Amino acid sequence: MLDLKILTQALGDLEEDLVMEMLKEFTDTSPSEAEALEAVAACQAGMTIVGELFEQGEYFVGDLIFAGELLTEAINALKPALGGGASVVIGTILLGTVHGDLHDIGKNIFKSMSEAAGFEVIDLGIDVEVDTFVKKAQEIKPQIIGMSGVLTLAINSMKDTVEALKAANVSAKVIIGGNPVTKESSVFVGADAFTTNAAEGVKICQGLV
Amino acid sequence: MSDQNIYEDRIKLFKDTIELKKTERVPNLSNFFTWKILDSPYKLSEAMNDYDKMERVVCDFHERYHFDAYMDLGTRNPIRVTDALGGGDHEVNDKTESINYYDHVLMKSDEYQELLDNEVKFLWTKVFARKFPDTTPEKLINAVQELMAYGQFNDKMTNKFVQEYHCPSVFNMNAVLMHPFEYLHNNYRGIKEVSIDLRKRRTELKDVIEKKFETQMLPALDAALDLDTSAYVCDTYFPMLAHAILSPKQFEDIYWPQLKQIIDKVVEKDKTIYIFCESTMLRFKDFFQDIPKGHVILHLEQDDIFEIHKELPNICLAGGMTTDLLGNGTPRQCIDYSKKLIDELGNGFIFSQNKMVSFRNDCARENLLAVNEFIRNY
Repeated sequence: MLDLKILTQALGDLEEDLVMEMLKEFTDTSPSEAEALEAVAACQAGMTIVGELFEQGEYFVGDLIFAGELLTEAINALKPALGGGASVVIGTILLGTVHGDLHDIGKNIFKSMSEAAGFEVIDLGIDVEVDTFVKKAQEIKPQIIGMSGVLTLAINSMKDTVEALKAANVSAKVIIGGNPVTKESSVFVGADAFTTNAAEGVKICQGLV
Repeated sequence: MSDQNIYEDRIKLFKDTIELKKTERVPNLSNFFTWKILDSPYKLSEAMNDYDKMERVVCDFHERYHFDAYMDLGTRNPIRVTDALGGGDHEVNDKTESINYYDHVLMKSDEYQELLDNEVKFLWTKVFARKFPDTTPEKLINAVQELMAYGQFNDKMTNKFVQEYHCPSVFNMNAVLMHPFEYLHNNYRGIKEVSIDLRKRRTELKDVIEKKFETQMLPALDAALDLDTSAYVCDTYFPMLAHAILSPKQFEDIYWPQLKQIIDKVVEKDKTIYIFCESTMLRFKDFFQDIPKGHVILHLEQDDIFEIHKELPNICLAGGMTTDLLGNGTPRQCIDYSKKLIDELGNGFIFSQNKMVSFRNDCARENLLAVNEFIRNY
């Protein structure tokens, strides 16, 4: 029988071998969909530990990247047992790296951690044009729009995107994140929130829904 | 004052600042990169592909703003060389006025041993072949010619700035040192893969770091410390980027042992090292607290420079002026902040920009003119 507490702690400790061994043993027992969903929730709780350790300075960016990969690997292992079922979705985030910027590491870390926290994330990728953000936001009506960027030019692309979203009467809250983001640039962009770290960004998003 | 005196005074100004001595004014170091082109009549692609145009851009920039020294003389992005090999490592976009470098994965996770066994062979047969898959002997010859042209342009600009503008070079290109982990992070594995390797292949990763350090870095360091660098702002240059993914514990394990040896040798030989830090450094402050003053310059990007100054009074700091303010503030706000930087950081501060200024909205011309006039006269 799968010990969910140990699974959570193993994922929080980034003990890949232990996590995957536990999940293999678990899936070999042909678990029910409900049991598989409990395992998913345990893994997601492990990501909360990762976020806490990041905030304490024990983990840093490389660990978050590894944690995202480990979570994806874990969920993939559970997929055959999940069938058509799904975890409870607490909100939808439309996410992308803004126009002119091709970086995606930070965006992908935020995506992994947001999904682990129960958000459905629609990832538009990198170098996302203003119109693409607007059209997709009108189509899926997300609660939150997340814009990422590493280059300082991303700040202006974020501003352009926020202005276009407002002109199109998109009511989603906007959070911006990445290397050049500051309190001042957030005001300049017209965003509702900003962050320079993914773990904090997820907490902010939880407060926005 | 004679031209020679201007030049010598500038070198002395930098060296005294590095030694945390009181100086008549603060040295003003340009950390402007492709913004120089956007401040000129040329497009990015025009200047970056034409050395005559780039020379005009860089000279006009100096004649307009009059910095004491320059981190870049139009030589940061030798794209003609990589384009000759087939391109694919960057994108120059005139519409968005940006240059983006791609995060490559040129080495597979199971190839650490191969890298350890024979790095030169590994570079040519694996890394190079993956980065430039369409290279032909003709392209290779063209690339060598472009590399020589780039070298000549580099020399020409360095000499021109010394001879005509009396600006010392910041560092000797032969004294650039890079931590072995930077090679893995920047050139071979990429950010994501090396992050995974830190957890899954730590022993192999450390083996590569230690071997590269012993066989390549230490000899390079010894050679660099033997160079006559009296005409340069600093004796050695050490760019840091890969630390951005490391926790203090990982830094202590993966990065610091080699960096400490380098700094110890620099101190032992009474030389200086300019550490250009992308991202943040505050979480590593403890490692730098016992370094004797007068040897290390930290150029900071994202840190609160005032906080670092309090934590590391033994270190000369560079940077400070933010692109947020240069790009979006008023001349008055920029001058007020410049004054605060100089007043609070005191001796041992090289005035510069926090980021490698690259994009149009990183800076407004009137702000830079106002700041530099203030710096010259304060």
